[in-house]
Amino acid sequence: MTQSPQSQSRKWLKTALLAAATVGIYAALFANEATVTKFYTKGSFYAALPVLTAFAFSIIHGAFAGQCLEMLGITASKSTIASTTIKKQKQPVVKKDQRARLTVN
Amino acid sequence: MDLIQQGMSFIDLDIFNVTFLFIVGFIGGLVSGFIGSGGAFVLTPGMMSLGVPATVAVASNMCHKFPKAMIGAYKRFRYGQVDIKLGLIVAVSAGVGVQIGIQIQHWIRETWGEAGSNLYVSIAFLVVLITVGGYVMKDAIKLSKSGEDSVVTKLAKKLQSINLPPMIHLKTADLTISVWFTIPVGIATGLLAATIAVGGFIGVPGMIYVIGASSLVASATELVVAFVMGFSGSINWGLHGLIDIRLTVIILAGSLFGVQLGAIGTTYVKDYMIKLVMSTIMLMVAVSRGLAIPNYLTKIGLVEIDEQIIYWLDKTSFAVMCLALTVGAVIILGSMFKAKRAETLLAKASAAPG
Repeated sequence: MTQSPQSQSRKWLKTALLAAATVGIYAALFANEATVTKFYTKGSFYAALPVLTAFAFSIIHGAFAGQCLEMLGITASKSTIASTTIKKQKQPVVKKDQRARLTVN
Repeated sequence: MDLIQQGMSFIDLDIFNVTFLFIVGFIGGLVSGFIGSGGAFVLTPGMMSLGVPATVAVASNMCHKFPKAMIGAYKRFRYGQVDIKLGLIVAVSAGVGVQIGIQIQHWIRETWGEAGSNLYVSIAFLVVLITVGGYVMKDAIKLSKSGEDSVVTKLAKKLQSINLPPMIHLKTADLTISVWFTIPVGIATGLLAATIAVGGFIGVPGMIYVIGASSLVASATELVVAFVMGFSGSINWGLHGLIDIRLTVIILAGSLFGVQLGAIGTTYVKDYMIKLVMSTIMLMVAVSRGLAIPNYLTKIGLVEIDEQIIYWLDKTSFAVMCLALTVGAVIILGSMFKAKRAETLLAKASAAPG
């Protein structure tokens, strides 16, 4: 299925923004290498710093990597996506409560 | 050198170090995304070969492992392959297994020293990788010849039939089993993770052959276990100030591409391919570890081997380890490419008029 020029250019924009964000975080870390190393190795409560940094990098760079793969046409098999969608669409049967009820007006 | 001093002796990064870590990170991520584990056994010695102290290498690798596993698990969750409940339950008992493994390592180090500890690790590698890897390889070859989808083992069927509360229903794995039977799988995973740094080599086969999940679900769910263990391990190492975040983010630069590519790869292959890739890597790593044993035997004085021979055995051991990962990556990419090409041709044929 061919994509509209608008959706293609939106994808390119998204890729560019994510690329810029990725370059930004890597540049920020390595430009301040000495300061980062000093604080990240202090131990104790500073342990949160490397852990949170790893989270942040994985979300930003992970999104960029995923977007790159999509732009290169490397996507999941369509049959897998279709069968996953079918499984999600199967709604559970909701049984009505048939038991007798006592109500007070 | 004490831990604090080791933490301060972070290496200088040059273009070679960065490129090496990026490539190994990518390949390790690719394998992890596909079989649910792997990469650590090359990344940690790889970093050490660049001059990174052992504890910093382990800490930095651990800090890259959990975010990589998180992204891989998310991707595979979207493909309907992750059983989160199973992953969390196994992760809890894996945590116990890690503590047991650490205590065993401490005792061996106190009794036989560093060389004795390395020998123990190498023997553990050999025993586990040859027995489990051999069994998985045999199963993979049998399935590839028969063309069948994976078959639930008699052991798993038996365990699933035993009503021993508390019972859990695992929706994605599509089975019901007593929680008690997941505990040995988790403990073994943690024990192996603490010993050889790759718990998934027992975790994934355990979920397949003991619990009865398919290879796709087991390898995907292992990423949840890896996330939990990696996260808690990273906090532990971070408290000691031993994570070199620069190494972590460089490895992540490659591995976040690799893990998503590996996850995509699982949607193109049959169940047995995951077993084939895993067992190939396991058996090759067993060879690599076998080549490292003479060095440790010499250090503890059990044998006498020429220093030059030891040197070349060590180099060959490392090369075989890198080759194991590369072979795994080639198999994954090759089978992905073949399957994608077949799917594209089929789509074109269906779309053709008349």
